[in-house]
Amino acid sequence: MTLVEKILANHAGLTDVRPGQYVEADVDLVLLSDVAVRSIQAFRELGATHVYNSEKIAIVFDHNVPARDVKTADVLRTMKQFARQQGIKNIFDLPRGGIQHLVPAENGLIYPGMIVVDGSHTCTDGALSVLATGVSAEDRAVAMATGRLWFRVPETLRVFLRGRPKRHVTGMDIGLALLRRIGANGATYRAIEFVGDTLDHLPMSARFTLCNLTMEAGAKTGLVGVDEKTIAFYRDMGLPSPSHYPRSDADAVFAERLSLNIEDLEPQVAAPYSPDNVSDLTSILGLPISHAFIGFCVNGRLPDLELAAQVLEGRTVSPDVTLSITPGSQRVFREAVQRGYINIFLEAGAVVTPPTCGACAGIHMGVLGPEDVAISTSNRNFKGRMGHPDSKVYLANPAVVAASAIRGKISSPVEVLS
Amino acid sequence: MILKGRVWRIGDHVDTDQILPAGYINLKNRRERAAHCFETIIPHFASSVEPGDFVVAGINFGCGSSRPSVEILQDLQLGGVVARSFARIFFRGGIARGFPLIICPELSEEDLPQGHRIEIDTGKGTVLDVTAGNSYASEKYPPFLNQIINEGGLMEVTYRRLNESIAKAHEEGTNCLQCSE
Repeated sequence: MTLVEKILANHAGLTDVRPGQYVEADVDLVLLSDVAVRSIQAFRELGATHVYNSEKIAIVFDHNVPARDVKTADVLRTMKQFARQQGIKNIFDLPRGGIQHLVPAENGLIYPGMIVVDGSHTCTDGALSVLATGVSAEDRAVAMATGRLWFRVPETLRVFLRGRPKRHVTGMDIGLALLRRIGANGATYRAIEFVGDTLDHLPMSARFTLCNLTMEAGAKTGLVGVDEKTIAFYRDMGLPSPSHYPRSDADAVFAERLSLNIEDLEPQVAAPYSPDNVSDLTSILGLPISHAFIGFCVNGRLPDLELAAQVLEGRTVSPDVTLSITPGSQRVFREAVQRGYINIFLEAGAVVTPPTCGACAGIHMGVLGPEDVAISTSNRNFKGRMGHPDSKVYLANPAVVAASAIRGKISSPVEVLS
Repeated sequence: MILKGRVWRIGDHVDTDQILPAGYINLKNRRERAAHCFETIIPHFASSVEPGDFVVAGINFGCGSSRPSVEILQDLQLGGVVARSFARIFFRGGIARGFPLIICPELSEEDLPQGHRIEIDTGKGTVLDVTAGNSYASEKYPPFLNQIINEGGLMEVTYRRLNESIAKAHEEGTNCLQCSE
C-alpha cells in the first residue's frame, strides 16, 4: 500500500484498502479557523450538544484577525464561547497563534500518520506525513460530533524531484512547476506523494510550501514520508520525536509516476487568473507592479523570510510599490525579530502585518483595487481573490517578490543582488 | 428522482471566490450573502435566478476554499449543479447537504446552453435538454454515497444516528455523550 492508503486503513480498522474504496475512518484532528463558524452552526443543526472528543479539535483565528469589523468580532466571541463550553483547550487567538497551516504543527498537534481535516489548504501539513485534507464545513461538524468521517481512498501520484535546485529556486517554484505540468485539475481526488533527492537539498519549510500548493492541482492531499528532516522539525520545535509512522511499501501501486528535473528549473511565476498559468520568470520580467506580498501560509516560515531579507537588506522598496510582509505565525514573527529580518524589512520600507490570511484572501489588511497589479508569495490568483475582480496577481517565490518590490517591476533577485 | 429546471451556463474551473467573494462569507443575513453569488461572472445572477434553476458548468466546478458554497446555492433555491466534474470539497458539501450534483463527463461547451430547459433523471442517469431534444448520460454514484444521498445527505444521516444513540443510551441508562454532566 501507499502511505495514504496505510493511513486510511489504520483509521478505518481495515488491514487493506484499495484506491476507489469508500471507508469510514477515525479523524485525529478537526481544525477550525474563524471563517469556519459555519461548522459550529452545522454542529448544532445535527442536534449535537457535546463534541466527541475536545482534544481532537483545534481552533485557530487567522482570517479576520485582528477583528476587522464589529461582525467579525462577534464571530470570534461566538467561537471562544463554543471552545469554553466544549472544553476545547487548543484555541489559538492571534497573540499566541497565527495561520492555521502553521500553528497546530508548531504546537505539537500534528504527528505522522494522522488524519487531519480542515478547510482547503490543510494539505500543507502533509509535509509531516499526515493525511491532511480539506472537507466541507458540514463534514467538520459531523467529525466533531462523531469523531468519524467518510473518505474515498485516493489514487496516489508519485512525484520524483530530481537534483539540487539553483539559487533562488524554492519549494514555491517546484510547486508552480508541478502545476504548470499537470494543471489545475491534474490531481483531482488524488494524493500526491513527493520523493527524490531534491527534498534533501531544501529546508523543511519547502515541504510545507510544496504540499500547500498541491491543493491548486485539485489534490486530496500532498505528502512527504518521514525522514531525518521531519524528525529535526519536531526537535527544533521542542516537541517529542515521532515514534512510529507508516510509509509507502516498496511494492506500493501508484496510479501514476512523474519526475521533475529540478536542477535546471528557473524561478517560476503564475500569471492571472489561475495558479497553473505558469511560465519562467524570464518571460515576464519588467512588468510594472503596484503591490508586493511576502509570507502567509505558503511562504511565511523563517527560511522564506530569510530569503526575502537577503534580497531586501540595505536596499529600498520602490516608491511605486506597497510591500507588505506577513509572517505565518507569531512564533515565526518573534524569531524573525530576533534574527533581525523584521528590522531589515522596515528599513527597506515594507509594512509588516501580524500573521493573518487577510490580504491573501482579499478580506482586509491590504486589499487590491481595480487598477492594482500585485506579485505575491500566496497560492491563489483567481479573479478577485485579493480584492477587486479587475486587480491582477502574479504568484512567485519570496526572493522574486522582494526583488520586484525593489525595482517596481517583476524582477529577478539575481539582477538586484549583482 | 426527476429534476426540472432552466440552465445557467458557466465555464470550467469556476472557483469558490466566484460562487461567493471571501469578503461576504461572514454576512449573517443569508439572503444578503446569497445576493453576491456569481456576481463577478454573472452580475444579475442572484436577482434573476428562479427556484429549481440549474447551473451547468465544465470541469472542476467549485474549486477553491471550503466556504459554505453549497448552502449559498441552496439559499438561492437552485435545483442543483450539472458539471463535467466537481472539485472535491465542494462535492463533499453537496453530499453533506443532500444537494443534487450531477456529473456529466461527456458535455461539451456548446451542450446545455443558457436558458434551455432540462430534465434530469437521477435514477436512469440522464440529463435531457428539453429545448433542443438532446440527451446526455450522467454518472451514477457508488452504493456507499447513494445510500447517504437517499437518506437526505450526511447531515441528515448523522442527525438521525445521533438521536438514535441518545435515545438508546437513555433507554439503557448508559452514559449519554450528548447530555451535560
